[in-house]
Amino acid sequence: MSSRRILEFVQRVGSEVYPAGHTIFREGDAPDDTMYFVFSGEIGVYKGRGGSEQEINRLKPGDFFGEMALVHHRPRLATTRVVSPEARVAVMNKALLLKLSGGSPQFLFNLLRYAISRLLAAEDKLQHTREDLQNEKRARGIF
Amino acid sequence: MSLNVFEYVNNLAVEIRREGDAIFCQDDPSDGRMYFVADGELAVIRNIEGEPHELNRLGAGQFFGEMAILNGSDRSATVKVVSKSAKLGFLDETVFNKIARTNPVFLYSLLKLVIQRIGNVEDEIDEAAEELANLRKS
Repeated sequence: MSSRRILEFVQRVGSEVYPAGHTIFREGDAPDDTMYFVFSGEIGVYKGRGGSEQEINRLKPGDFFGEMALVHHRPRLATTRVVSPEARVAVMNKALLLKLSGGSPQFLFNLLRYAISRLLAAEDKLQHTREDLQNEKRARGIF
Repeated sequence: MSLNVFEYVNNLAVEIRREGDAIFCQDDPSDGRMYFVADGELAVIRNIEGEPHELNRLGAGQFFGEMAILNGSDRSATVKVVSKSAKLGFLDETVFNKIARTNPVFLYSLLKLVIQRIGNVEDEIDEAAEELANLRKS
């Protein structure tokens, strides 16, 4: 996505700027219907509380996160925290997404494209993991 | 969760396909069509190392082929009818954009469906990875 288009989206969607170290949500937080989209900066994703916390992913501009909240009312599965000096993030709930969808659907289209490319990547990963599993079973004589 | 696209469009183009029919095949170039299952059952099949593997099944209310409209990419899998027959609605980009403009809920519902699928696939990855890890430990 070009920086001009990102800027357009920032204006249309509205965003928050968080400082380094700011926690956006914590693993186990009660569900709300909010998801996030990264416009700038980097967000670390962590699992495990207290001393056993481990970074499982690093999010960059163009990534979204917390999206499962739109689908399930379950506690947050991971903690997300700003790791760059600051990060600009769009905060979206159902009402805003519906409004965008009707008024300026372009952002939602893009979000859908991102979601679909992530789905494709996940499907590829699943395929590879299953192939590995199959090979491991074959090697051990399990069918 | 499913999306009844028939609520959003009158006169959605519909076709009836028979058992064994392939709606499209893996690596086909996109014809810009996205499909909704109104009735029947379809199998999503992908070739892995030259052998066909069924990835999942689709039933009424589910959609497929959305990448063709949104990304214009080649078909990533083959979709075949496995019930006696299947009734499918289909949209091209023009109709898709029209629905998107006139029905705010449409894009939102589609997004939710894709997110739901990501969640399901991620769960399956976790399961397969765990099985693999246990196997390697034993």
